[in-house]
Amino acid sequence: MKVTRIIATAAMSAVLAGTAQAQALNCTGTTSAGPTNCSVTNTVNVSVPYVASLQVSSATTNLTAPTAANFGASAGVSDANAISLTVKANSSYKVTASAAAATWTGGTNSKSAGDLKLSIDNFSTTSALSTAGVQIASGASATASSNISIGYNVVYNWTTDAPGAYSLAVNYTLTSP
Amino acid sequence: MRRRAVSLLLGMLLSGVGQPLSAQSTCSSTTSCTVAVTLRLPQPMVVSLALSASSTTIPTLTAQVLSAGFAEVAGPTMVVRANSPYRVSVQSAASTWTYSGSAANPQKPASDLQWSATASGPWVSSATSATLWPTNSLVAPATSGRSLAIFYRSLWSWTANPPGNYSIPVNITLTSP
Repeated sequence: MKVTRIIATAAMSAVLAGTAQAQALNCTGTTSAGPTNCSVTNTVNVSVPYVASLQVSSATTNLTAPTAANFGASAGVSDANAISLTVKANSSYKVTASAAAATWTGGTNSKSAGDLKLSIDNFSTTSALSTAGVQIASGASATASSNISIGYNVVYNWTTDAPGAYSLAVNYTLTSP
Repeated sequence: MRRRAVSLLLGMLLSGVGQPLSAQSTCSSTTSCTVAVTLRLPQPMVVSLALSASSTTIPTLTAQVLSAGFAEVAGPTMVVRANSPYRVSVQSAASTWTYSGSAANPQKPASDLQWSATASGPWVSSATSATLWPTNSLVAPATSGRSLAIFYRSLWSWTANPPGNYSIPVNITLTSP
């Protein structure tokens, strides 16, 4: 009995809901003189999520080969404007860079990722790379297109950097908000 | 029961109830007699507009949409019935979209919603009233069931539309004549 009552109530609610919807979707107008009109309303809805886009100018960057003078020198070898990132975001954002591995591949596979430093201000300041990541840029508001030019600086060591071809994957991560 | 209803209706007609009759006439004859009775039937202007859906949902925006600057979606279909010339017009019911989200209300203007009778445009701003049908902005002849469609194009940008939910009602008005 209780179940029946619940079903009946539900059915009645459904009927009432259907009636209300029908009224919202239809209109009629009648007049014996003069113009007549009737209106219905269609509401347009949209959800805008946090949206962000990161574009990198090149998937691979070839760095300048070091000379003897560069080994053991703290200045390292710089490649200005080695790569650029383009950020689009409809809210605040930040960009971080991290090494995909603790060491470079190549040689004895022992060259530290921290030997690579990044700069977005033409080496006025630099940030050593790590697997933990380092923030290199941010924006407090939305941007339709922000360009981040990144320079690389690599230091070389006589004892750890045996001859060979080295590579290190750098992950750039855009976070919004 | 049905016979009783018919009898009642005939009685009302003959007694002049519900319908205006011309001035009463009389006749008398011993054989036959004819009285002319004029029936006047009001013929009001009647219009009807049926909409297939009370709301239209634009798919959740993506980076591609924000970069392109617009999103297009099919709106509802509608059926018009009118016993006299008519036109169907469209206009947003508000000057700005309603916004709910964590950012300040961007006051997105109604002009950021455009509509068209076809999927390929041309697109018309919903900020002001414009005629959907007929396309020549005059009036269409009476119809027993004219099917129409409406398509929406909404305008978006990275910087002007923060994350959140947006909504705007659109009035579709049938006017006759």
